[in-house]
Amino acid sequence: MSSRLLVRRLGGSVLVVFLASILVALMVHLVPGDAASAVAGENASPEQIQSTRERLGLDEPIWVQYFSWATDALRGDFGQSLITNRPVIEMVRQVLPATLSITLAASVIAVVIGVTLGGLAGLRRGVTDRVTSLGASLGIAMPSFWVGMLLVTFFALEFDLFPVLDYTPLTEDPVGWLHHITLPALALGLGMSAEVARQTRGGVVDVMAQPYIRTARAKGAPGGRLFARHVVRNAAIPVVTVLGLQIGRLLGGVIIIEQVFAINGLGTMAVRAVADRDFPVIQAYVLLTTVIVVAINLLVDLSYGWINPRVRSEE
Amino acid sequence: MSLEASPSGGPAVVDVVGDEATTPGGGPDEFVPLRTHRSVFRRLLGNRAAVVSGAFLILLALAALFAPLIAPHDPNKQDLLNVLQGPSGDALLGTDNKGRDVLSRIIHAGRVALMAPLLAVSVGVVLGVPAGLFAGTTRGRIDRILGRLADTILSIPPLVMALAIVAILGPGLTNAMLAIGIVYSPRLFRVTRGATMSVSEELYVDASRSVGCSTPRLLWAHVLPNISGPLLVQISLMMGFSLLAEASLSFLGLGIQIPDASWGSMLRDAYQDKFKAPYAVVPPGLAMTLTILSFNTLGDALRDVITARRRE
Repeated sequence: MSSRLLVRRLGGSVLVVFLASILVALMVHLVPGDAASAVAGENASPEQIQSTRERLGLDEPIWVQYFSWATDALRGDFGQSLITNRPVIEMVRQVLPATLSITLAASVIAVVIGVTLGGLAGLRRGVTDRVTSLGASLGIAMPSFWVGMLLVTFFALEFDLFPVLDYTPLTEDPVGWLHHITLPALALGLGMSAEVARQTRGGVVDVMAQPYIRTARAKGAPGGRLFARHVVRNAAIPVVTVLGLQIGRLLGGVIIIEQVFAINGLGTMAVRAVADRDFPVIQAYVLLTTVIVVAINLLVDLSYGWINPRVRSEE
Repeated sequence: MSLEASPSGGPAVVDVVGDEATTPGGGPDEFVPLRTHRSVFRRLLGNRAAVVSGAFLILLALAALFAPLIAPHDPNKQDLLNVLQGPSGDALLGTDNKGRDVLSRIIHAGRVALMAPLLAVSVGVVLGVPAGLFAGTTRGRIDRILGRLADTILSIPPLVMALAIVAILGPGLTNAMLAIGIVYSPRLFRVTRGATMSVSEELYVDASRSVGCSTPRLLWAHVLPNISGPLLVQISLMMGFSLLAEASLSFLGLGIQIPDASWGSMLRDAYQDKFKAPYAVVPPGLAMTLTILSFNTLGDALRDVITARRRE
């Protein structure tokens, strides 16, 4: 990828984050009616409403509000929770590892299952293809939180193989960590694996129909080598793309998966904050997830050139 | 069925609609207008998966419409002496934590399952389609600004965005559906804009413009009918996603409020009693999965029919 393109992509990402930060910083203003009294609650006294107004910075001109919020946010200061009075960044730091563990593990599961099944379906076609196809449609349609509940029902309650609830930090007890995140990660990853399987299958079928595969075969290239050198590289692009597009779905899905498995993660924090209208927490949460999504998609863009050199020259 | 739906590896999800989403060789320009090919419907009837999905959705709609006649019991009638019962002759799917008949509740909640996504998609259409038509025909600066705004909203995960909007508007089913409609509007905007741009280059558009056809009339009479194919595909897929989003928000307690029930809130109730009645989570989840599957299959089949037609 040329450096000019790199700069353009980077610029685009920064712009999107900047625009998102405006939406996020000023979301309090979108509350119908008087924001401060809505946030302070129905039974708040005028003094409480006034103090809420000041804490939210609503008494300042709008551009001052944005500027001070944004400069604080850049320094990692998202203010304090309106409910617990704790610094928001501290709350985030506490719950982030659980959410990241599950999301990452889910991605790994999705890639392993999706690429294996999709690759087999694309190479073998026939029955394997039809079964995978049906499974993928079903996997996409099944809500991940329902999958989570079914996993709990079968593996935790019926057979007692995994703990039902809660989370153990990796640093404290690696085995316990793995034990605790297996079911949530599986619940979250299965739906995504269906999507990855579809993409892989489509990519492999496309590649196998290319003349260079026939040429390589004619030259007598052994099957394994053919697959590793030609098929994987060329079929990887749509798969990587779908991974980037799915990260947003994962970060949304993990909210509910955390509820199902009673894990105190980012999603649990967000749901509580939404119910309490704890705006500083919600703002930090929305901006953080957006930055993660934008960063992952930038990486996906950059990976194209690395996976497949032809992309570089095409651009 | 569905895997074959995207022969070029095209993503079949609503999440990935956009410039990059309509896949290599499968851009909106590959679609053809629905109106000029009345055989589209006949072809859809030839697709077994589409027929089964369509039939299921029609049955569901009828069941929802006539819920009070079909449901064997009052969905909200509590019977505290018979809570969390397994299936029996009287209650085919058992009873819930307040002794209410699960089957009756599922049938009644079918109304929410269809109406809520319909509301969300309507909001998305109202916001996204006119903006897309406008951006696609005028191009220029407004197009770029709208495009940037769409990019920004698209980079916020849908459920996260929906949570933020519910925080702003307050919880409740209508607000939740408004939120989901807003979240999906950029996707409809992009599909509409892309399709409008390719249609605008057609000769008949130039021709009507040259005979003095006004822009609104041009959009209404020529452009809109000709982009209805990709829009319908998108809407069908979006119905499934909206149902999922509604269930998610209701499961979190931010969507439907008691005493009404949706499949999502039923799952939440059932799951709370997982130690006492572990299999109670099966019926609402199954209803949801089958409905989402039907919407997705129908959308995929429609896309196949339209694109296959183009290839000929």
